[in-house]
Amino acid sequence: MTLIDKYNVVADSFTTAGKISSKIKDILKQLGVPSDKLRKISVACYEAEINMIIHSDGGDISLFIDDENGMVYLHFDDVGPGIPDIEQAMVPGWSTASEKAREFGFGAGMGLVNIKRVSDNFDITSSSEGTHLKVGFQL
Amino acid sequence: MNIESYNPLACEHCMKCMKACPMDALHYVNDLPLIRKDKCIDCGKCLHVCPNNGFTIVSSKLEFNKNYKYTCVLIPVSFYTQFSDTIQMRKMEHAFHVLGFDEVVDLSLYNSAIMNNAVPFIKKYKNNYLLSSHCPSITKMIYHKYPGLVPYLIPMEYPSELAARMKRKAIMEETGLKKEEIGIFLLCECAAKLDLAKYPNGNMEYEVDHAIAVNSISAILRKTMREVDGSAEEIELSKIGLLYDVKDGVQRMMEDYTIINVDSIDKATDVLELVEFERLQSSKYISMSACSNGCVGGGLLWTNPFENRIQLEEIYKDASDKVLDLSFEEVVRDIKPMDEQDLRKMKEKMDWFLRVKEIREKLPGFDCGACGFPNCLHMAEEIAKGHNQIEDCRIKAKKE
Ligand code: SF4
Ligand code: SF4
Ligand code: SF4
Repeated sequence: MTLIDKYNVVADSFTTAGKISSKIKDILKQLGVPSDKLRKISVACYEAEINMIIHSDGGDISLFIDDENGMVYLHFDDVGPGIPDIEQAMVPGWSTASEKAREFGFGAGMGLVNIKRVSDNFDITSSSEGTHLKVGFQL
Repeated sequence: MNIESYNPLACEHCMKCMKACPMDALHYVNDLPLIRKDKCIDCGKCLHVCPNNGFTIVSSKLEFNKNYKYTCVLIPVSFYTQFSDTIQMRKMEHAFHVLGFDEVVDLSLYNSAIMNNAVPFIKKYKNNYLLSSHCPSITKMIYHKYPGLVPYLIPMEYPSELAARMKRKAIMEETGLKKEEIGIFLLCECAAKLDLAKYPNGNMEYEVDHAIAVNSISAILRKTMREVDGSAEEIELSKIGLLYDVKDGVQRMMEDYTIINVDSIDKATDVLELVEFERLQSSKYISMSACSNGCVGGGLLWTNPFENRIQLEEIYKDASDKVLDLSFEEVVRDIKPMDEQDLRKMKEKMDWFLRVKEIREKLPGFDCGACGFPNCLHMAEEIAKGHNQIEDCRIKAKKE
């Protein structure tokens, strides 16, 4: 498994929201990832990036490629309050988006559900120190 | 590719064309711009940005109508906006007859058949993303840059194809002529539409035989217009058909559904990025034209997009309510799915990617274009292919 790149996400950086996802999308295009997969990875990445901006105190997004098994992995590691009840967070429509986030039109609460829906591999752990989300996609 | 070459004597190496190209299709070879056929989408930006008439448009010739026993010329709505009144329009049509065409066909009628079917289709599928497919330049960009979005293109036929097919059939029945004895010519207001014909580009799948660039016939047409009295038939443009050539035409036919309209390559890029991230929720139909204000802003027309737009509204007032009533099956276009066959193994793709990445990191990242490529990433690819060397980067060469 090769780490392609690692990007820093700044909390509350709404004005540049989605920029990292765009970069990752460009890299995957360059890599020749088939377009149906590219869509799914992009959507998941965007949702998770927004989640980090809204809910965490910042963190990193890392892009890995496992060329032997034909997998793309995205790791989202943040510091911050964490998700107290993951099961509840997986219910469609549930959201704790802050007032500011709502103002920007984010926080419809589809985040985690959407990410799980489009990914082939989904693993999340969360504590009061932060959240670690690993998603994998079979190419 | 319908924009070709450049005039080596005129070029001042300002690189405006390379910087303007949205597809990174322009490179510099021996200090002159060279367009890469496989990447160009015929948006015309390079052509319009060049201060020195560096580029030329490839077009079929009017005189080719002598090779046929019966000929039609299809006139786009946008071209009618070039004339101040009906008398001038009639003179224009008359001039085409004098120039050897048996029929002058106004495309507004065929536009109306497409509009009439597109609107209910868009409403029916309003919960799905749908992308307009009338602008060949935008459509090509989607194929090249956003292949995953190709299935969202609405399957509507080009009006020119519809007209060519119907006309040819009718003429064959009427005159008993053979298919190949009838010549269908399409007048084009932009470089992109020059592709929608067998010639000049050898796109044999089209029904239209020849595409003619407006700018290539301006002189002869104006001259002939001065010699005629405009006694051609009455002109009766279709209202709905006129709307096809303006950017918000589809919107004007929808009362209760707001759609997204964009009228430049840059704006289309912005919105397509959002579609790829599924970020558009309230409206999912996106109408896109490469030219300002829609096809009335076609880059080969004589007057500017804003004047043309206003003129179209004038024409609209007196236009007729007639519509060409066709079924959906009759106006449907087969949108070919993207051929994404990439036989390289993931491993190979990875190795290539990492090699380019490594070289890219050694380059300064100025994206200045001095090496002849639009940005450092491009240069890195060329180096990886062995076409160039890292020393060919002018910034690096200067520093060392
Ligand atoms: S027509 Fe457009 S895509 Fe083609 S080379 Fe010129 S600027 Fe680039
Ligand atoms: S725009 Fe391109 S073709 Fe025109 S003068 Fe500048 S470099 Fe030469
Ligand atoms: S910095 Fe060097 S490699 Fe990058 S665009 Fe300029 S000349 Fe080309």
